[in-house]
Amino acid sequence: MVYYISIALIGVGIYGLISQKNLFKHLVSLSIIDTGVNIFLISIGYVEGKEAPIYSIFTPTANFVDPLPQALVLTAIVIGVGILALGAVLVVRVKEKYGTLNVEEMKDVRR
Amino acid sequence: MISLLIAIPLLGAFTSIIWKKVTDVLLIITPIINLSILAILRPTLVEHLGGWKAPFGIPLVLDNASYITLFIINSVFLLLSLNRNLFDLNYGTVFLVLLTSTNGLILTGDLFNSFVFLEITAVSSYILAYHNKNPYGAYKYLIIGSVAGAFYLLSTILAYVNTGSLNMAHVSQTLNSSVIPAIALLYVVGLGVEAKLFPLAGWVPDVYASGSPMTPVILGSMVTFTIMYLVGRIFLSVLHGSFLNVLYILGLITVVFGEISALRQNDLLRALAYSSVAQAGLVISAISLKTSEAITAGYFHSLNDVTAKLILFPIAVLISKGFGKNKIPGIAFSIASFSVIGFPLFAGFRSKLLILLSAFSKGDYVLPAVLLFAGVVEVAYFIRWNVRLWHESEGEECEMKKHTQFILLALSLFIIYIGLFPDLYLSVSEKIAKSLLNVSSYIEAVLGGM
Repeated sequence: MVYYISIALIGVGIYGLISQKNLFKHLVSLSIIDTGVNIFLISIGYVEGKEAPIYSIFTPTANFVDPLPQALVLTAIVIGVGILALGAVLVVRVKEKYGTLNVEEMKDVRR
Repeated sequence: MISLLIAIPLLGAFTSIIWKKVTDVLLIITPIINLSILAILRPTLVEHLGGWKAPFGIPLVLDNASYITLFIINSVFLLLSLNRNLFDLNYGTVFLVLLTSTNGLILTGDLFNSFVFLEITAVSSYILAYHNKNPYGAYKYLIIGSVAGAFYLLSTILAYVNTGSLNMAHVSQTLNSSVIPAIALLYVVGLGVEAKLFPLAGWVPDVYASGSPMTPVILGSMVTFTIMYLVGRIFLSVLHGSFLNVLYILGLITVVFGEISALRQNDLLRALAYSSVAQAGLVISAISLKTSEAITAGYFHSLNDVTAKLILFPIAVLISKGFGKNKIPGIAFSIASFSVIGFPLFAGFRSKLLILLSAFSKGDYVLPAVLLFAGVVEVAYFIRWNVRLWHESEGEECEMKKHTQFILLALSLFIIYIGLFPDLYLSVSEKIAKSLLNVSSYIEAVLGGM
């Protein structure tokens, strides 16, 4: 079930990238795609009824969900945040140069 | 020992943040140290990071293909950092991080690790692509590149779901053939943006024609060649060459689209950018013929393209008026453009001939037809640009320093040398091709005969 959510989120993000004219909304769409991929990542490691992958006195036996996707998703989130920050910087620069964020209103830009 | 190849540029990058004054020294010393480490090492070597054996840990694999690619990338880096006046030294840190990530991308034997390095490469490319004149071009590149990164991650995860492993050798060994199309399709999208395949190459002209001389030179040489290596590694070694016929068709469309767009441009830089797209398409379709000769020819052509673009782009940015008063760069430009067209005596002729021969020997007549068509179009626009730059206007004295002019001229003489005696490039690309195709010895080297 969670798969469908993540696929739907990726679809929403791509639709946003194609249909929107505002550059900031492109950034939002990008972050939606990232979220979709991350949810997909987490969902494949999930096992019904299992616990978080931490050894303690309460969980003496390894009755865990798959810990690897969780490690991967942390890395993916960090990369996503970095790219989002860089994208925000570029959006600010675009706004400073052209005075607008709407693709169609920008002058002397080749599309 | 192998991990030093990644660690030293990273150390250099951090040092250049703290001591800004030594950046120019670091830019030269780092590739020299890397090259001398490479000179000591002999492939095939595998290093398991943290002592975790593959397939559980991350291995760094130095086989023939990655050894030679590393050698090429680090030499190109050295060559670029010797061309001092192409650079804004403020970008020195980013440039060193780019070297770190390309080295990592070439060495790594782990799919998720390659995703991380790909993203670092992409982020440093976005920063290098940014120029005051075109923030929108860099932004476009960032959006499309990050979507491609998400797809790359998605296909890596699919491979993990299917095999329970992220190790390239292990995935290649155990991948179920029923999911290969899905994984390969996502990898086509993920790598297609950086590899400049047709529907995904819209960012190239905007970024390459940004007006800064360093952007197209770095992206068109170092990053392009690394991505070509990665395409070979993933599609030939990991996915056993399935799905390559799709890449083949996309590559051919890219060639036609790139050449026709290049013909229509009024701006030299945009024309060169589209020409670079077309050459990338040609290389990819040659690689996807999957025979040893064709892959050799593909990497040979990629090397020639990199060498020519190293000359063409800086000259195009710094001298856009005319060669009347700049004879030396003018001569270098003409030689490099003749090599891209593929005139006999120049390096490009050899590789195009080799691509033709390998396509014919496989019984394929579509690639030769497209290649010859592309050649005709290339002649049309490159001759036009040469005539325009040499004869129509005198131009002014350029701001290019004497030693940069000398390096560019030496490179162009090297192109003629390769055209006459292609053995050097040929043996190098043959080794890459053989090593990429020899999947079983790669698996054995990484997994140790598991």
